[in-house]
Amino acid sequence: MSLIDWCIDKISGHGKVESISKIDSTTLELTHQNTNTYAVSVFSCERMNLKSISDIDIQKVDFILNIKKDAYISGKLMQLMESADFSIGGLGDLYSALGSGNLSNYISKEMQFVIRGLSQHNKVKRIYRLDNRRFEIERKLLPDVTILVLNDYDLTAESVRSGIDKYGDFDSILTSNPNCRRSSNAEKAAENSGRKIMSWGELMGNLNKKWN
Amino acid sequence: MIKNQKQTSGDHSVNYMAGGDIVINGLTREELLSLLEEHSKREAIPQEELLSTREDVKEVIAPLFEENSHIFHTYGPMTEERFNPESEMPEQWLRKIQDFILPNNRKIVETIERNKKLLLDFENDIFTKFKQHVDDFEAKHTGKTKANGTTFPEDILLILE
Repeated sequence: MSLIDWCIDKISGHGKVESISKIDSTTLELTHQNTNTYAVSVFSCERMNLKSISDIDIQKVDFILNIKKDAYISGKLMQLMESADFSIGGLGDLYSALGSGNLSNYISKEMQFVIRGLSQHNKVKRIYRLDNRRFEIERKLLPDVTILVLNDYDLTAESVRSGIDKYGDFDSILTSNPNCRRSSNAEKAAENSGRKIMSWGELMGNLNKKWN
Repeated sequence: MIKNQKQTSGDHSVNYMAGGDIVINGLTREELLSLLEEHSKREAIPQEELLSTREDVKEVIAPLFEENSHIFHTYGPMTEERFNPESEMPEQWLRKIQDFILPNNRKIVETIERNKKLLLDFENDIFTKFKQHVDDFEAKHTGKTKANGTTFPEDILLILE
């Protein structure tokens, strides 16, 4: 079964999809219950940047479905996404986007919470998305800080180390999952790399102080 | 008609083959009955008694699993609330672990342990995994360890069928 056929099979089961058809070997078109028609480009890539989507006609696409789980999306591609009105995500994201009926401006629930919460903090002047999981936070009268947002339920040393490998430079890990369980080794791995792990409440408090 | 054919995926779950026949834990109903017949001879438990006692044990543990499952799916860490860092659901979830899930788990383990001779070999393996999961989960939620243990073995829901 080809990738596009596999995707059609998965998406056609969604309750909000009225009909779905293949446009070409990488693009499908679906009609939503809200009567809108959306073009979805199907793709598989660990690290997404401007070059990796150069073959996709973004003028004609509403959603780029990347079947690689937890893929990296570069900051420049995030900016292009916003300005050109298309979204990128995995199958779970596409399902949520179909649920909301908005495929071209989809933002995950997790990022909606984080962006809104950071923007409302009185010490935060501006936030910049460095990629799909890192934010640079410009603060009033305090140094800028960079956070990596991870939604792991079990935050292990491996989660910390793979976060560093994948996303590179940041000051702290924000555990966006309210149920997150941090192992002692995760704390040690973060500490040894000169970073901190913070829950949402801890981050909100620490944004008032100098921490880096 | 029950076909004497194992599902190809071989996982321990209830599935339906192309002909519509039920496969339980990777076994057709015929295969399961044959294993129970062998077990009845080996353990010297009359077959009727073996089947009815297995059913009785299942009736005790099934509601406990159902209650745990309901709590997990309503308050647990996999709901949509996991994307809301300000969610207050974890407080409820942690309380319900103490008040319902841990006591239910203990009752399930005690009940199966008391009736262990009724278990087929593969069910015993599943029960061993479940016991370790219960121990890991309890250790985590009673403050004995910060380490994350094994996950819930879904196959346990299909033993004693």
